[in-house]
Amino acid sequence: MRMKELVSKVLFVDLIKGLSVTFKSMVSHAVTEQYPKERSKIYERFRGEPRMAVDENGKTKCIACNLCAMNCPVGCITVEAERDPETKKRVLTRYVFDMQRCLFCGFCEEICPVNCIQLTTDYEMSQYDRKDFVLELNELEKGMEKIKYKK
Amino acid sequence: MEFLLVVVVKIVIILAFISLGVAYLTYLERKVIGHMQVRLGPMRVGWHGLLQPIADGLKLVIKEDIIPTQSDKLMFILAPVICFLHAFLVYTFIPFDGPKGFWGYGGYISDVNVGLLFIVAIASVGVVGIILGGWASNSKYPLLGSLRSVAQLVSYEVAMGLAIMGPILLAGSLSMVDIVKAQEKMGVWFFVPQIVAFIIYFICGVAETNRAPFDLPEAESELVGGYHTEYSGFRFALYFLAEYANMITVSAIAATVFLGGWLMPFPSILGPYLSFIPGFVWFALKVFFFLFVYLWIRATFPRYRFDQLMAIGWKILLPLAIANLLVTSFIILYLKM
Amino acid sequence: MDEVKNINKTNFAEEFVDATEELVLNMGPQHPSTHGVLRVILKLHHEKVVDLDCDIGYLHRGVEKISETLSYKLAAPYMDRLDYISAVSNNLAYIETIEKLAGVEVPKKAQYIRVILTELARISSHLLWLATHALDIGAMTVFLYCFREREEILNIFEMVTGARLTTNAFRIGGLPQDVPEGFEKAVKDFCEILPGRISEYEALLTKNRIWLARTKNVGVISPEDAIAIGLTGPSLRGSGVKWDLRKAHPYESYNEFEFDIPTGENGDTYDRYLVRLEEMRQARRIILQAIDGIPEGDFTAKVPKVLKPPKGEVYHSIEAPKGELGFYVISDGSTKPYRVKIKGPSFYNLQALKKMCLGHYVADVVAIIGTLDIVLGEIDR
Repeated sequence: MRMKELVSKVLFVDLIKGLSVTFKSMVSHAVTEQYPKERSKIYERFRGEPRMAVDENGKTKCIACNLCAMNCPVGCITVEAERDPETKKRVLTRYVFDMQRCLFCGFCEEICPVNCIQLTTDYEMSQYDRKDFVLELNELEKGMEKIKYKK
Repeated sequence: MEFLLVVVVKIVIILAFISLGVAYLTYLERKVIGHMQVRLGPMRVGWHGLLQPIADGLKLVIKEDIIPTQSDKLMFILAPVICFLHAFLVYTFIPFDGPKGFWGYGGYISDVNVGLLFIVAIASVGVVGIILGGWASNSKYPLLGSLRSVAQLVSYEVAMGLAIMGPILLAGSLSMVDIVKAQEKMGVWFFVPQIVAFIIYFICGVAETNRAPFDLPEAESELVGGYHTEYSGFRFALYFLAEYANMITVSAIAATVFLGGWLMPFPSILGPYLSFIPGFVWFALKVFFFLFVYLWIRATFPRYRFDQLMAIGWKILLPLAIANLLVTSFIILYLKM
Repeated sequence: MDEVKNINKTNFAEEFVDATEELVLNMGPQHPSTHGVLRVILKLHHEKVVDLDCDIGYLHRGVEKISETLSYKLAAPYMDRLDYISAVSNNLAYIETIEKLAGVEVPKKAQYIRVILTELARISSHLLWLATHALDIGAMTVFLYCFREREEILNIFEMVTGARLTTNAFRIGGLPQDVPEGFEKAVKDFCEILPGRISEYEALLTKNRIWLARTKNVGVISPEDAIAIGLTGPSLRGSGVKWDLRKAHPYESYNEFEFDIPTGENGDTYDRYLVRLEEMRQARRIILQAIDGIPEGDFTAKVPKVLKPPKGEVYHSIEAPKGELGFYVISDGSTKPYRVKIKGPSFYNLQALKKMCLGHYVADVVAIIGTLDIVLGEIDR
């Protein structure tokens, strides 16, 4: 047994085994993707950039119930509303989403009773300026303005 | 006058060729290791990233030149130059092609009768640059890195020198050209009769150039950057180029001494068909083979620890090299009698 | 002139010996292989470690205090960020503690899916451990091979939970939503390729002489010391102590699955490496059993929208990839916890660093930090 070990050590058997693995990988295909050109499949449930849904008239679906703000662990959502004197309903006046603080936990999306706030599959959210991360309602409805990488 | 002109032209050609080779060796490394790691390596600059080394070089040159305030400034500036200079000086004596090569002008800058000795001597001066760099940085990680490299060099230089003694005995000359000619005359390249010396030489060569798995002086997971931790910009580039130039040197010596330099493999079979290929192509192919093995090893193996490295050098390689030398000389003696 | 005289007076060799002093080396907080922002203050004699001290706290975020200010449900995403490499396990430990506190019974289907996801997280954590550990020792290719497989697991996480790293996978009472279509196939596909890939890493490392030289007899810790220090997880089992909370105090449905607890013999880095590799295989075994046996039923129990657990306190711990991860929660009957104490495995495992490192070389310190599998997010909390 010891003799066998010695022979295999002198013949570098252990090392050659490792070398063969790396050589095999070299001739096989790469598994990485060339990011800006190729993009991997994003699953439906992915929690990315937040969006606010609108109804068929282009008006916000939000009913200003404030549940999302209350269910946000970091408090990145601010809902401002006032009561309409005629219909006695709360009407949204301002909706601010601070993406710098967002954890992307998805609690707001889960709790929303009208499926208004949604976390989309968009994941490219970089900005040059911090204030661009603070999204107002109109930005949330049509999506963030993106800075595209140009070669 | 013509002689001088030829030499100058040769120097320019070889220097340009080696500089380009060194730059593209970094590209090759990134590509080969990338593919071994199931990724692609550089792809963005130029077609398949072919301009990457140039972009890297430009970046390093334009970067701010930082000299630490606590450092020994003169030595700090001098060290990478020493390293770089000696790495490139070696190519004076390496025969890229036979005496009839390069269209009759001789495929080398000069052929000295102590060529191999000279190469080994110059190559080992390069480490002074590493020591000085680590010392002059006046910082702890570079210090540890440079101390390691001193120890590493001292222990591996000995075994390496003894390993090349075998082929020298067989050839009966220290001249690089004569060694290749001896292989041509013998009909078999020296790595066959000198397989032990060949393996020892290659292991020592890897250790000499501070490459994985013996890359202790610059082990990034332990010593951050090793001796060049404090270097940046083009001074770092000099170190970097020197390291890769040393890799090519070691490969070139191995190709010359053990793999028959510019000679064609199996001349009796391939001779009639491939004789149009000039010798330096064969030489380049052999060097490329060694460089590939270098990269292959780097991609595969973990790193030795410092004391283990010393143990291998002194307890295994050195006795083996001596034994190989003795056996070779006895056999030669026996055959002569 | 005085100096010259002094040199002449003293024996030069003696002077030289006296001149060698210990070198204090700061490893970290910015160092390639301290796995984050750990600062290790090393005292070196030549390259041998004579003393060592750890400085932690560079990543302190006050998670325990934050969770006191939030309702029980809302603190869960923070727990993902403790040991961000196995977010699912952290989430499970916290959620289970709250369920125990509030007395919520989780449906069997949710339990099975939780088991699958946490075992996947275990594999992913061990893969990342192997990747970084091997990289620390210099084997750079293993790093990317491991990431290749980890990517598959992250894809499964993304498919099920919607995020790759900080998954926020579970809710009090079960799961946020049922598993999507294709989940079973994805998990099975992954289980199919895993053994082959593990043997690939083994071909690169297990028998490799350099790997053996670097890991055998490095960072040895005896079972007694390991227990005394409070090591848990693979670091403890590497020393030969057969202690696994999945067997000792089964939670979820772990008592319904068959699996072995691998243990080492010598308690060195190499044994811990083998233990973790075997744990990956065992985790795969559990996943395969669970995926075939997912029962029908609800994915979540009925839980009130505003959770107000009764007054009391509870400690619950699970076998996270790195060891015992426990949560101690005190409720004062309101919607927010009175106190949340986290017992993270990395913090306890780090305590063994000094014991393991003394007398070893600097290079071994790197290997030992790697073998302890620490995550600074959890040490500093």
